[in-house]
Amino acid sequence: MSYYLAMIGTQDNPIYELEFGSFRQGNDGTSKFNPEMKELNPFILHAALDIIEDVQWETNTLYLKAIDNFYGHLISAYVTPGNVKFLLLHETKNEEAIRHFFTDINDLYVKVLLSPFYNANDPIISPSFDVKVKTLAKKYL
Amino acid sequence: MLDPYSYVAPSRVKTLLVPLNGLLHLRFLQIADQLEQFREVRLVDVSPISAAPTTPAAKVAPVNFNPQGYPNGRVCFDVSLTSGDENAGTEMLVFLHDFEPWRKTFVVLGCLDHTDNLTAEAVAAHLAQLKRQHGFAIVHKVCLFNSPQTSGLGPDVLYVLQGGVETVMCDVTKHFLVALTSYAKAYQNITLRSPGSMSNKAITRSFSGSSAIALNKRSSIVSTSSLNLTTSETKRAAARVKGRQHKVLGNFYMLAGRYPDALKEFGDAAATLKLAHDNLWLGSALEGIGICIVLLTFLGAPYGVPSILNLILTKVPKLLGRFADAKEVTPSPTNSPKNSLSLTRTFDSSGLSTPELIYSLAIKALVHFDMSANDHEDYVPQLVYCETILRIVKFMAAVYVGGSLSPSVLDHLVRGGAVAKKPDTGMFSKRDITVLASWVSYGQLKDMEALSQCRVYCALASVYGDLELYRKRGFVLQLLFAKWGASGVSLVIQTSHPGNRQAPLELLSSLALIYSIGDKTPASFGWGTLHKPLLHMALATCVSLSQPSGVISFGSLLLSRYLYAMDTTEQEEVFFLIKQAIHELKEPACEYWDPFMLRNIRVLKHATNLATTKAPNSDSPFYNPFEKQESAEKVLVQDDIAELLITVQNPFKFEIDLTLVEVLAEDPMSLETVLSFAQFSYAVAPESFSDIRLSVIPRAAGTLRITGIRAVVCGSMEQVFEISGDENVLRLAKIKSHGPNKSPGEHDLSTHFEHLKLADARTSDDARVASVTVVTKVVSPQPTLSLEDVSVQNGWAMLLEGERFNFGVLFRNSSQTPINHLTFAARDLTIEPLTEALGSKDLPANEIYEIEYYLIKKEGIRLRNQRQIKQTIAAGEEFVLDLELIGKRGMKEASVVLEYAFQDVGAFLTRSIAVPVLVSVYPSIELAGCDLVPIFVNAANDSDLWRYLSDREEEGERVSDYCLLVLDFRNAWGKAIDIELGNIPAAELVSGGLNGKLIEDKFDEQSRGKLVEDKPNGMRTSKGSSGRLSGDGLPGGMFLLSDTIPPRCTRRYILPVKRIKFSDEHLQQPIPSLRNKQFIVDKTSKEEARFIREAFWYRKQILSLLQGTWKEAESDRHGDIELRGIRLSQKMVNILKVQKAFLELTLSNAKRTGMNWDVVCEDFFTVKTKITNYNDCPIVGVLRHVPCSISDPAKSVDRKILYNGVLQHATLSIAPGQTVLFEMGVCVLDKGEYEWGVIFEELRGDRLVQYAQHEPMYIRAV
Repeated sequence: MSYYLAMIGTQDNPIYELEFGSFRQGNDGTSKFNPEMKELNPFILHAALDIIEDVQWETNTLYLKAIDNFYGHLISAYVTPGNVKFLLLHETKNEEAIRHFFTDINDLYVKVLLSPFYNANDPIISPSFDVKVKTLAKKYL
Repeated sequence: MLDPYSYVAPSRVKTLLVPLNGLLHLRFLQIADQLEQFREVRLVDVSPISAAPTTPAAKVAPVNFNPQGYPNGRVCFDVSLTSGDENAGTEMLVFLHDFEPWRKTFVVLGCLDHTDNLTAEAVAAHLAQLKRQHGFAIVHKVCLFNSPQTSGLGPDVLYVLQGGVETVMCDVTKHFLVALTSYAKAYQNITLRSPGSMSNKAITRSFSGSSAIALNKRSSIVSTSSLNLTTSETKRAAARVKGRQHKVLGNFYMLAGRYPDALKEFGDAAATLKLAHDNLWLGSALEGIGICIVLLTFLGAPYGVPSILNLILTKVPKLLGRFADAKEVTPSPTNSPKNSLSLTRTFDSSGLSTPELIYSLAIKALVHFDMSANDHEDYVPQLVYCETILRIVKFMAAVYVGGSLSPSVLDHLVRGGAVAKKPDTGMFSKRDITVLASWVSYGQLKDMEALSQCRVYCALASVYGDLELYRKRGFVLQLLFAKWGASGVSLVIQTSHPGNRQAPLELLSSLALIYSIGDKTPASFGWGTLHKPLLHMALATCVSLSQPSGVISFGSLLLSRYLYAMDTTEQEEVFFLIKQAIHELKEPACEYWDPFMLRNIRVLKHATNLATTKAPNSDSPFYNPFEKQESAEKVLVQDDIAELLITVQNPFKFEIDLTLVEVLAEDPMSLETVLSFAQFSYAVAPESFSDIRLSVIPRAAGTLRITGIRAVVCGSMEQVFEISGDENVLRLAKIKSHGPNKSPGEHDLSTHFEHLKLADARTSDDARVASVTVVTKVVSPQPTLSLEDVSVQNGWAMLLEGERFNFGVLFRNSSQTPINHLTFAARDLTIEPLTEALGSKDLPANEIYEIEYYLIKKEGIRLRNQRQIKQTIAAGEEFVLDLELIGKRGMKEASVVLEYAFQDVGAFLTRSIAVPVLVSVYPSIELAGCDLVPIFVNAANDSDLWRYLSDREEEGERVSDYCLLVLDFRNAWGKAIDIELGNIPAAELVSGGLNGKLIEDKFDEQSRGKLVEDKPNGMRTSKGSSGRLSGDGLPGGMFLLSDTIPPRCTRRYILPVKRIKFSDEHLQQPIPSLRNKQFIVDKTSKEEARFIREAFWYRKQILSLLQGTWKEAESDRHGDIELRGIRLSQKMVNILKVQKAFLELTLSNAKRTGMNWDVVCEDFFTVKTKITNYNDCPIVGVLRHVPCSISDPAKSVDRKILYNGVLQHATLSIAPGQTVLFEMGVCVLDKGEYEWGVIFEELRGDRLVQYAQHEPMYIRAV
């Protein structure tokens, strides 16, 4: 199982990207996307932004569930109150786990926002954030 | 050409136009336009067709497409200029013609203009050719335009008269309907087979994992809805055949414009096929029903919904995608506006509006298509499936945009007109449409033929564009371009419109805009993983389209923004493509992709050679170490060439070449660039900074502001580069924004390419990099001195130590400005080692003085004609400097530095010019050793020395007033050298007083003037070691000796030196510092310090008394002997100095011979001791008599000498200048030689000062 996570800022700018795989079922946590798909991943997520902007006004929850798909890959989305979008490209439906995953990532993101050295919409380059996201990925996905 | 994926596309008759008889391209397009205007033909306008005779044997009802059957109906021709599936190499699509007959090109029209030589035979030949080439069509006609005649060229010719196009189209329709009748008849007797069974190619439609699950889910839904009909297999097969024929007939009716008949046929087909479980054909029939309903709605005609739909449309999936479980966006029927058109609906049970009905039909059709996928024979071809989805999606999009199924929407659907936009009324949601559209990708779209894939992508892109889902549209376009690039499908570009060639480029740039590539916003710097592949793809597309401007734009973007993600190969490849594109464009039309190329411009200081001089009045009397130096300022001179150092960067992994054009200043008139040849080309190595030297001439005094350069880089446009300073940190605004940054609809190609021009990022307020201006001062023109001539051969002189060498230097004021300030400075290279030696802190004061003397007093080079040089040197004037080089040990180079300026008022700037002369100094006469010997008695020898002393005695002086200076000289040079040594007369010494400095100065003058220059003749004549006396024409009291020293030999010379009498005050003076050094820490002991001090003063005096010159015997070389090697020891100092208390011993009753006094034993005589006090103060002390036996020193003198009184007694105070006489009676008892010494001891403070007698006294007793 492979995943591609992207956090998109308010101007379609990526602030964090991560490609990872599941640790379940004997996988080693590395993504198994084929090269073609790997190159398409950011495009797929970018295209899903259109759907998010359509859907986000129709619900009062932050988690938008699977909102788009492409060639059997699903895209789940989460919109923070600051309109930063978390997008996850995944292969199977796993709503609850992804909900928890997104909620915890939002917690991490809020902590990053609290840093006086971080400006909104800047790329997150903190290695500890990276480690924590990977831990969450291991925990839930 | 109408939209091929319009919902009603299956109702259109495909028509191909072919130009005949060499019809010109533009004329052909004109004709096509005319025909297109009348592509829709009402059946009422078509003349009736005579009914075909019915065959009684036919089981089915006779097919009749007589227009009278439904006069309201219309036939719509889809006029195309390119051949359709049949000829486009897509043979595999022909097998679909049975399943979807509308795919076939039914009508082929040849178009030609009338010409006079057009004959019936020629027309027939054209027609035959048409039929041969397009044999698949059922109608082949020739349209003759502008024909004066209306008949005579054959039955298949249609004469198009002025304004008669409509009539011709009606005729075409009639011919078409006739032909269609017979064509349809052919279908009545055959068993229709599914396309899957007709094609041997693998066009199976398989589902990827997730959709397979969904399929199962959907199948279960359908299975519950299916009727529990039990039919036998044979019955089912028969129904299948019948149903399929109904369906095809329905298609034909639809093409013929007889929509009610078509609806009926489709209804029958659906009912029959439903029973037969023929999912594929049932799906197609359901879609046909939908199309008929739309067409009838468009015509405003009432229609009855086939009753079978009541059965089929049960449990229609909600209006939301099959994968989305949420049910929030179901448009409720109450919200949707009722169709304004009159429409009779018998279908009440579902209560659906027309759009919903269409949607349901389409979904149902797709469901049945999906179900057919399990059938190994009657499965749905991927293309059909995709196109079905696209049609319904287009329908939904149109309804979404139009708000409802309004006439404008219907017009758009049927005729392709524009849709009037209305606010979202919730008929369909965007989400519904996108979910449905995404079904396209479920199947193996990738396995489809490339052309079909491209078409599908195009259709999807247009739908997303209509829905304003620009990111989705961008994604699809990206897929399209990627597919296109990968498959190598040649894109047919209609060259009729010049804009079409730009169309793909336009699309690509709109794509770049969607992904905010090349934008000014910081967002465009981020998503490298997304932007880079896209740009690479765009680049490849432009290359294959041979669009050099596109190649340059996208290549530049790649290089300027995504350099960090590119390796060497990629960079070089992109660079190569750009270079090629530039070459193709012939004229450079692009800007260089690194606007921050110019990093710095510096003014080279040495280029101007100017130094600031402060105005004299601003000098403070106090030295302020904290005062800032202003020397950092670099100043250029007007009209003088100045050098600039230009730093450029090359961050790329390939070499760039740069051609400088000019340096830019704020005021363009103030600077002129000097290019030594026409253009100045330079290569900058990969990933490096490079400095380029360039000469400029400032043309105006004042402040020069250099802003940048104009240059051509890598063959791009001539471009201005500003100096890049620090990078500004750009922050994204913390605002919520919605939607992509710009919609492509509003986007203009030109503004987009504006953004690609990276340079404008600098002029805007949020510039990435601050521009820097280099500011320098330019002063008015300054004079320039040029060195015209130096009289030293090759600029190199060989000197012996102490030698003097004269030479001249010719200067010229080569500028237009006079020089009125000129200073002269001489320096030689011994300065550095001497200065370094001075830095040592352990040196005693006398050594420091010695070094300072060499440093300051002994110059290596001297200006001789300082007084002759004029105050002002006019422009162009020449002048000569007479210089003298003095051989100084260790000197290798000497230089004269002239500082000159035109002094106006206040501060001025000086320029300097240096004349270096290289020097080799070899040793000549060296002082090997020295000593001092006291003398008391004149030996009365005949030598010069004794004669000199005798002369002195005659003048009333004592011999003991003198001592002898012994000097050893060595000739270190390879040739014999004459030397001359002399001392200064005593008279001058006395008159010189205590001021040694005065004497020294005087001596300096003498040694340089008199001795060397006035007396060379005298020196030359004197051979051998000979002294000369004052009587020989020398000044009074002067002793002079001359000799020749052979090479490498050492000779000893003795000079009489008068003893030196210094006052205590003089000797207590500290050793001076020639550098005016204020404080010297003295670490030596008090006693030692006293000795050093005294030795210093005595030595200084001796040196001032001595003079020596040498001259090479066989040449003109001459110079001074270096005597400063003389060092005084304690003993020598004692010999040299004159006692402060003069003690003189005499014997009464004794006969004196020399220093010996002859007495007779046991005779009485008196020892008289005379003490004269030469001190400035009275002295009190003890006088000691120290007699001793010389012949028998071991024996006590007490037994040999009797004396009256004591040997030691205190004296009374002796006033200064006073002489006191002491007498003591003495009797010598024993024969022998005795020495009688006398010592006067004075206790001065805590120091015991001893004075001995002036001359020793020897007593010889007989």
